[in-house]
Amino acid sequence: MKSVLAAAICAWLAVMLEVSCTDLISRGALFLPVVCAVLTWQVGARLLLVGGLLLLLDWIARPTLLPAVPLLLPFALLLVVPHASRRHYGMRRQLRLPSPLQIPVLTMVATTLQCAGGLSYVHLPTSADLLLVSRELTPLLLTALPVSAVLALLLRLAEETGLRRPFNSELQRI
Amino acid sequence: MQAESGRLRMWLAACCLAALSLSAAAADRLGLLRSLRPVLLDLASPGRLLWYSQAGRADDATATQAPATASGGGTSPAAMLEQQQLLRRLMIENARLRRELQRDRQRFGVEDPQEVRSALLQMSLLPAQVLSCRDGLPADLRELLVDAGRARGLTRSELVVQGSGGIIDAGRAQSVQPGDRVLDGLAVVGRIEKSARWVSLVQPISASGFRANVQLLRRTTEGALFGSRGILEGVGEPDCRLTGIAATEAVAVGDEVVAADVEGLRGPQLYFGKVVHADFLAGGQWDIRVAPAVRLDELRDVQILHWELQPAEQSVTTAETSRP
Repeated sequence: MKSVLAAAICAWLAVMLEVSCTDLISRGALFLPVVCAVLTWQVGARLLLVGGLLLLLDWIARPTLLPAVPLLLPFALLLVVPHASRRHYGMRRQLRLPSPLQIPVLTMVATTLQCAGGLSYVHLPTSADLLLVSRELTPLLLTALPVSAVLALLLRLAEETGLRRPFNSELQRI
Repeated sequence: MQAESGRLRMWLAACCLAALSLSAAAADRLGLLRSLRPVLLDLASPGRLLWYSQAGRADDATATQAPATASGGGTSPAAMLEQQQLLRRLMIENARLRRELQRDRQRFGVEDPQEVRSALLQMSLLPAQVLSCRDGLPADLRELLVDAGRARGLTRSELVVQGSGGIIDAGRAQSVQPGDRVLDGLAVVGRIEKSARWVSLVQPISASGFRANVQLLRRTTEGALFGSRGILEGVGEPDCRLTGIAATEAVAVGDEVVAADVEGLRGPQLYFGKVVHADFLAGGQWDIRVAPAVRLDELRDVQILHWELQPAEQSVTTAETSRP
């Protein structure tokens, strides 16, 4: 419950800053890294639901054409974050994303989805539409990626200081 | 085994969120989320207001420290000169209209009840910032939200305008009486549709359901001449429809459209847009389309026309109550 409350407060602060400084901060430049950090804080169904609901509420407050981020980012998290049992107890070596890169990669996916959510779904996107998306994506990533890197460092620091348990929540119950 | 079930729960949660997102998208298309949107932005408003107040204090401190720098910045001399010329032209125009009005009153002796009501009220402009409308939505699908709500005395149906000049008081040298106002570039954006405590939802003039009393204004060699009155209606398309114009009236492409009244009161003649299409139909009716003056994707700051009681009334009341 504490983590849920902390997640809601962090997301509220990020939205508040974005709405206050619309000229300086692009939409989602703070909120999306924060939600990605929430999703990876303790990978589990509860924080996944909380993060998804926060994304959905943000879409309702500041809509794009399609709610692509709350629709697809949870699935991206399941693909990016490795399976707990395979990660720690698997015998076979496999490629997996290093944990410090999880938040930046998820942030990149989320920002791309947000910009793609503004594309019209009535007709196929033209090259001009894609160019417009890339123009929107660049300033967004310029802010969001450093923020996500800082958050990844903070999560690592929390791991080292014992505030965050590095294993998945389901493993903690074993 | 427990880890497997946890993973399964996560997949189930992701599927539930996907279903919820699709439902929300469908509800948004049906307009069911319109009332929820200002409430959600209202939730972020306390922090936003705190941020603005801190930023305002910082700006004040900077201005106190460097007054010379603050007074030096601003518009270029050419723009200021242009504004002054425009102001002079508007003052002259206003003075001419004032003289004509006085002459007509003396001739006909008519006392306008609308003006008597207007004398009790004064119009003020509340500045507000646009909170939405800049994201990746086409203009016809955007909803306009501004950061002013019931906390600042707003109610439903107040007009939202845009313009840097605002209202300029003119002097006696141009035979303008005290209290007269000259309008400089106030264009109507829409009307307050729903106001929350700190945030309000604006109905743009092109949205279906918007209606306003307007008057045509034609520029001729002899100056601006007012034409017939009609009703401007939003139809959910980029251009608005002008109805109620009699078949005998003359309408031409390029005619300006200004407000006939502001909420039933005599106010400034706000600018709505320009006639871009005027066809006389076979049934003896005009089909007139008006292009709005303001594009939603260009909006950053707006002002809200707000009627309030004259402060003179309040000062009289205060003086009477303070008397022993």
